[in-house]
Parts: sequence; structure tokens; C-alpha cells
Amino acid sequence: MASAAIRPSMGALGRISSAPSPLRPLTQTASLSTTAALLKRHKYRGARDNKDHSKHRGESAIRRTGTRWRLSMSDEPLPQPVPRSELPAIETDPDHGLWEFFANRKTVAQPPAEEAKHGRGWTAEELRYKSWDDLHRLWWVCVKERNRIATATWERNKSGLGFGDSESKNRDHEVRRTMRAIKHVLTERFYAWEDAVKLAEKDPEVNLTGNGPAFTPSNYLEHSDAASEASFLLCFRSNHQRPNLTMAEEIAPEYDVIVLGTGLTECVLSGVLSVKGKKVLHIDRNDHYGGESASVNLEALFKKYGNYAQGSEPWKQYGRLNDWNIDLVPKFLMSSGELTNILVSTDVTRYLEFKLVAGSYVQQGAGPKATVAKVPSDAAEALRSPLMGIFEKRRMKSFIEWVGQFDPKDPATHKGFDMSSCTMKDVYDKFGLEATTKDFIGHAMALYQTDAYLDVKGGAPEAIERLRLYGNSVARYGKSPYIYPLYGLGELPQGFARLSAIYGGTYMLNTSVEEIVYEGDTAVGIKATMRGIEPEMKFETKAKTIIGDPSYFPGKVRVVGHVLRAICILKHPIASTSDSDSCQIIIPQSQVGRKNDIYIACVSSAHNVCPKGYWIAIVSTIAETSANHHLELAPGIERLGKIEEQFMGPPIPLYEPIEDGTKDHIYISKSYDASSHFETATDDVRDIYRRLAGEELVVEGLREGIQVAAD
Amino acid sequence: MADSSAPKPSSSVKLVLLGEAAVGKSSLVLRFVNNDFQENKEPTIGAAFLTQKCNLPTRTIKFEIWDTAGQERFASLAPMYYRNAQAALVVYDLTKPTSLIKAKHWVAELQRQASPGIVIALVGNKLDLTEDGTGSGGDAEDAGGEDSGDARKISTEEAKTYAEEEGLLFFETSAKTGFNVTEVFTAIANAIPETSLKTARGPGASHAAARTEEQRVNLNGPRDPNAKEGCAC
Repeated sequence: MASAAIRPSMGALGRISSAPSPLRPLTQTASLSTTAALLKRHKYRGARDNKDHSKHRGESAIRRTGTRWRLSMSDEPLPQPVPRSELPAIETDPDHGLWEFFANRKTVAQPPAEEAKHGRGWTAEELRYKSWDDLHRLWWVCVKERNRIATATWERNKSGLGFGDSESKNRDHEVRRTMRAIKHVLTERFYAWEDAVKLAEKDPEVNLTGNGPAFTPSNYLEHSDAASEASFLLCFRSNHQRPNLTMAEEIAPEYDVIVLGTGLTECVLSGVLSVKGKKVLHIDRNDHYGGESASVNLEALFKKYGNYAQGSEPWKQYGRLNDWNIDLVPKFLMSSGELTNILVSTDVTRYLEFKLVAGSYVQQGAGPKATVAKVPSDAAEALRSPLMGIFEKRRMKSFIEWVGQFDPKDPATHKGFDMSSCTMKDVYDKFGLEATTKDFIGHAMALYQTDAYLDVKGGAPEAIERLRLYGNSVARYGKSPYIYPLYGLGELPQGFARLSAIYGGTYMLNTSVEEIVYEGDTAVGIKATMRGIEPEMKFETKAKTIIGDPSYFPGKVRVVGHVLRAICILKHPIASTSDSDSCQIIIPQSQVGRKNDIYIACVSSAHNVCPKGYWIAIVSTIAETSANHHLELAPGIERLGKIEEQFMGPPIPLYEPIEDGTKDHIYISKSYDASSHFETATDDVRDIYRRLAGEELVVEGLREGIQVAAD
Repeated sequence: MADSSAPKPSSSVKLVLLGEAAVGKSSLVLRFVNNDFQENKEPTIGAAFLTQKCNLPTRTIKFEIWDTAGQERFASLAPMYYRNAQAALVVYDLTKPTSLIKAKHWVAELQRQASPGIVIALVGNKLDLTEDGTGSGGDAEDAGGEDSGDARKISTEEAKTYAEEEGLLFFETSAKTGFNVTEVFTAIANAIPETSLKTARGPGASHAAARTEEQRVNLNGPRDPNAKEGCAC
């Protein structure tokens, strides 16, 4: 106000104030006013004065050119900003909710590969089992995920990244599918509720008014009111909170399948059935996995065979006990065989590591003059092989080439044979192969244990199929057709047991089965006891199907033969196997005057089955006499040289089921035979599966169809 | 892709979970891997092999986490489960005294069965149910927040003393709130000795390996392109 009033007389004011005057109070007022301060022009050092030094040049009241106001502050010193370090820190929430719009903090849009890592959406069928709370939560999880996807899409478009649209669309698709399924289920529930209300309105036992008890049973009361209310509460709670069940309560009253014994056959079946959605209870009376096909440590082996003085502990001299994994059944896997196929299809390979067996050998001759030579694994080895003479090699070559081309369905590849009636002997004769060549083809490559196959009418296609399996297995990794799992064969059942457990199979070791419960002729359940815990747990459960190894059903199996096995611990590789860490030696029966071949399977520390410097060799054959069994194995044991420890028990009976199980619903596996690989065991798996499921077992793509979202 | 400009040495570590049923083993891993939590989770089914990377300043550790798949319920875990494990997470429930006894049993079992250099972490889970763990921070004081009192049955000291005696890493976590979860895994990653990472597949495989390594076969790999039908003789 004051300044506005003063402004017109500025010039005069200046003049007044510059002149000595008694009017002190007036100047005082002027100097206080802001305008007065502005009047005074700032003079910086070296600033140019007007030529006439007049401060008021150009100011004229008449021409209405007033005081020249400085418009710029440029030569005023500007205020300096306060440095960042001196300012108080800005508080932000590290877990700010907006972060949730991004998959992670380091990138705005995930790479497509990450984005594509998702399973399928939930189906309505699965969601029907979920509580309201779960559905509610899942719904918002979906909403959040869609927001995240939308953010990523927007960011991708904005930056013109040009990838990932299809992946994120697929992801979104699955989320929306889940959301649709949730709506579907909620709609179903609404209708169910509506129907229930309609029913309840008509029901005299139900009172919907809200006064008095909602449900008054008209007939009789089994429990007192308080008790039923309590049990209702219990049910209610168990729906919402996982109760702390005791062990006995964790065993369901009914399973789809009960499996007895954890041998390889049983574990493969258990794994496959679990993946297919069956509810499996798997029991073993031993405290370890594997049953007859387990790998055990040295102490367990000594105790099993009992060949040591009471009180002494001979296993102590052989290093760390845990380094020993000695197979009870000597077998290898054919690298193109069916077991390999099952392992790969079920993804059990991720739990196991395999190693090639260094070589497959065959013996010619007997006694001190015997030679052991490698079964040729490729053309070069065939030419060097001492097994054949030069002309024989030619014949062998043309035979093998013919086997390679053979197609059972195409008569043009049959070389004029009628495959339905010709014998393998006819085939050999046509190629003019010598007896020793026939021997190693039939026994070391087709892996027949006797010569019976030679005279089977129409048996040629099977023999050729075996030769092709051998050839394909060799071709897969070279050198040898066999692979072997690190830490022993006992890993195989464990791997399949894990597969089964992952898909919901329940596992109980140390559990003996007291009784199979029958209804009429059909088995419907078991009574069993779990030992090793305090107190022992007795339980009873039901199942439509029971699978087991022969040892659980002594009355339902018959003996079809006996196997002799000697497990030997060596401190050196077997002679004439070029010091290999592992090998198979086949001694064809005709070479040593027997009816059945003798097999030697040798593995070593390279397979983590024993400490360094040891070899484990298992000699086996089918028993032909009822006494002097060690003499039967002698030709094999001769090959081994010095033996540190030898474990050989009485002949091991081979069992097979008497019935096929369709009547009593008990499906029994066969014992592990004397063959050197698992092809017969997988045949048994397929056979049992066919009998109990009524369809062929198809393992290819087993996991893809059912798997939700593994990882 | 987006998270590392210069490639750091990366190695796989097999980590196994152990502990009584329903103490929250799977939930812990789910929180770590997916940063997710499911209340009233069903017992583990379906996925039991998860992987997650853990970035340390000098290296990247890729955890291969093996879940028990429920085989611990009747004490039927296979020896294969421990085989070559380089780290183990033994979990107990802070609100359940028996679960610590079980945990001690598992630690003993690990020391007996597993490879000697194994890193074991003892983890008390379900901190969110106790008074001192009401959310994001252990020190977030709840001024009269808890109504039903403290559900904690195992004191921090008791478990910590035991862990120190046995030389275990020790943490109290909550899979529900996510408190301390990442710390457990980072601590394990840090505790794994550099030397045991150099071998291809854990310390157990080291002694036999080197020379015969090329004989290992990968069944999942594509077949040898030269492999022809028929016999190679």
C-alpha cells in the first residue's frame, strides 16, 4: 500500500532524500519500504556508469518513461541448493506393492524362456475339491499374474523388444482358463446351495428360521447332541487346517494298489501306477529298498551269508562300509533296452548316473588253454578279433548285414526263409557259419543261455530281434552294449520308488504283512505291522489290487529252476580283459561241457560300488545238478585269479506265479532270472501291467500327459 | 539373461530337505524358489525337484533342491536321497517340541550317511506363529498385538546351543511371511567350500572320476547321429 502510494513521487523522493533535510521520519519510512530498496541500483564491480553519471538518464515523467526497473537477477548471487547428502533421506518402502507388477526387480519383461515356464491351468475337476478360501486366494493370484503379464507386455511394446508375445499370451491363456474354472466351480456350488435350500424348506427335520437347532433328526439319535456337535466341529476343522495326524491315521483305509516288496519290478510298477493317478501303498519287510535286487554293503553281505567266525568282524579290513554297494543280482542294462526306455520316459534318469561297461567278452575253449576275447563291437574289432578265421569273418559280415536289414514283416528281407517254420540252425547253415561262431553269436550276442533256441521252429525272428537289440545297444554308445548305474543296481528301485512317492505313493519299510484278507476268492486287503518304532504299529487297509514279489506269496508260486551265484571280491581286474574297470564274460555252455552258460559280471570302484583298488565279480549260472554246486561254477571262478572273499550260498530258487492273478487280484512278479540284463524283468513288468490294467503299458510320454508343473 | 552381465562361475549344488512331516519343508522351498506361500498346503505331491539360482558376489550357485516326496513319513527315505548331497536343510517346527527331536535324529543320520563335507542348516520354521515374529522383521514389536499368547515351544537358545555343538548353521524363519528364508539359502551358498564345487558332481564322485569321466553316458541326450540300425560289427 505504502509503496503504491509513494511510487509516483519516486523521483522527487530520491531528490528529497539525497538533500539534507529535517524530514527524518519520512526517509525512514522510505528506506523501510521494499520499493526503496529496489530503487537503489545494484552496482557490481566494474559496472559501467552512464556517461554523465546520471542515475536518472532516460527517466521522464513527461514522456511517461518511468524508472527503469531491473528485470533480471542475473548478477544477483543465486542461492545454492542444499547438497543431497545433507538432506534427510527419502523413505521408500522396499517392499512396495507396485513391485508386484514385475516378475523381478532387475528386468521389466522376463525372457520368453522364463515366461514359457508354466504348467497348465487348473481344471474345474481339481478345483471342486478346494475350499472357498483357496478359490478366493487362487482367484487373486490369477488377477495378480494377469496384471504382471500385462505390465510385461506393455513394457515390451514400449521398448519395441519384439519378442515374447506368444509366450506371454500362452501364459495368460492358462491363467484365464484357471479363472474360468473357478467361476465354473463357484456357479456349481451356487446351484448346489440353491437346491439344498429348496430341499431344506420341504424337509421337516431342518429349521431355517434361525431359532432353535437347525437340524432335528426325527427318528433316533445315535450320539448325544454334544458328541455329534463335537465331531462335526472336528470335521469342520480338518477341512480347514491340516491336523497333526498320528502315524496310524496317515494310512488311508483304502488304496487302489498295495505293492509288497521293493524289488525293481515292483518299484517300476508302483512308479508307473502312481504317475497314472493310482493311490499306491508300497510295503517292504526289510529296512532297505530293493528286496532281491538290492545292493548291500560288505557287513550286510557277510551277515547274509554268515561265512565268518562269530565275534570277528572281517568287513572292518575293507575300508569304509558305506563305500560298498554289492549287487545281489548280477545284471547290466542294455543301453537300447526296454528298461533304459522306461528310465528315460519316466525321467528317473535325473536321479541316477550311468556309466558304460567297458566290454563284453566271450570265452573259447576250456581249462588252461581257454582264450577270452572281446565280443567285437564294431567292424574294426571284428577284423582283429581272434574269435574267427579270415574266411569266417567274411561269412560273419554278410550274416550281420542281413540281420541289420531284416524286417519281420517284409518277406523280401527273409532270404527265402519261411519265418514261421524255419529254425535258427537253418539260418546259420545257410550262411555257413562255424560252430564256434554260432556259439558266440547265440550266447554272447543274442544272449541265449542254452542251445535250445537253435531248434525252435519259427524261432529265427526272435533270435534276430535279440541280435538287433545287441547291435543297437552297441551302436548307441560304442564299445559295449551295457550300461550300469553308479552306486550299484540298488539305485534303480530307489529311483522308481522316488518317482512313485513324488506322485503320492506311500512308502513303508520295516513292515511285515501278517495276513492277506480275502472276500471269497478275491484278495481285498492286508493286515500288517510296522516294526522299528515304539510301539509297533499294527494296521489294516484295503485295496482292489495287490502286487508283490514271490517271497510274500509262498503258496501261490512254483519253483522253475535254481540259480547259482558266487559273489567274489578281488583286488585286481580279471585277466585278459585289458585291465578294464568293468566287463561281462560269457562262457558258452558247449565250451565247458554244460547245458547252461556261465556268466561273470565284474564292476569296480569306477562305478562307486567299492573302494579304490577292489573289483567285484559275480559268477552265475543255472544249476544243473543237485550237489557240488561249486564245481558247476568252477570254470567261471577259475577266470578270476586270486579271490579275497567269496560269498556263495545254496542254490537260489527261481519262482513264478501259478495263476495270472485275474481271479484273486494278486499279481506276483517272477524272480530275477540268470540272464545278464533286465529285459526279462521289464517283460514281466509289462506282463503284470497288462493283466491288472487290461491294456498295454505305454511309457512314452507318460509324464507329459499328467504332469502339472514339475519345476 | 538380464541379471548378469559378466558370466560368473556357476556350479550346481544338491540340497536335500529333511524334517518331520508338516513342518513346512516344501513351503520354505516354495517361498525361496517362487516367493509364494500356500496356506494349508497338501502334503507334497507332483514336483519334488526344484532348482533356483543364488547369486553370490563371486559366483553363482544353482541349487538342485530335492524334496522328500513324503518318504520321511514312515522313515522310508532311500539312501539315494542323501547321495552326493552337498547341503541339507533340517527343518523343525518352532511350535512342536517333537519336531526338534526328529531334527536331531536327521542330523545324526546325515552325519552317518551323507558325504563328509556336507553343509547342514538347522531351521526353525513357523516363526509367524510366535510372538517375536509378527511379520517382516524380528524386531517389529507388537504392542499388544498377539491375542492368544505365544505358540512357541522351542526357545531360540535351546536350538542355537544344539546347532553350535554340532556345527550347523542356524536360522529361525517363517515361510509364511518370508522372513529369513533367502538368508538361509544365501548362508548355505556361502558356507559351501569352493573346493567341493570344482568337481563335476559333488565330492563323493571325485575320487573315481577324472580318468573314466568320458565313459559316463547321458541317457537323455540325443542318440549318436552315426548310430545306424543293425549291428556295428
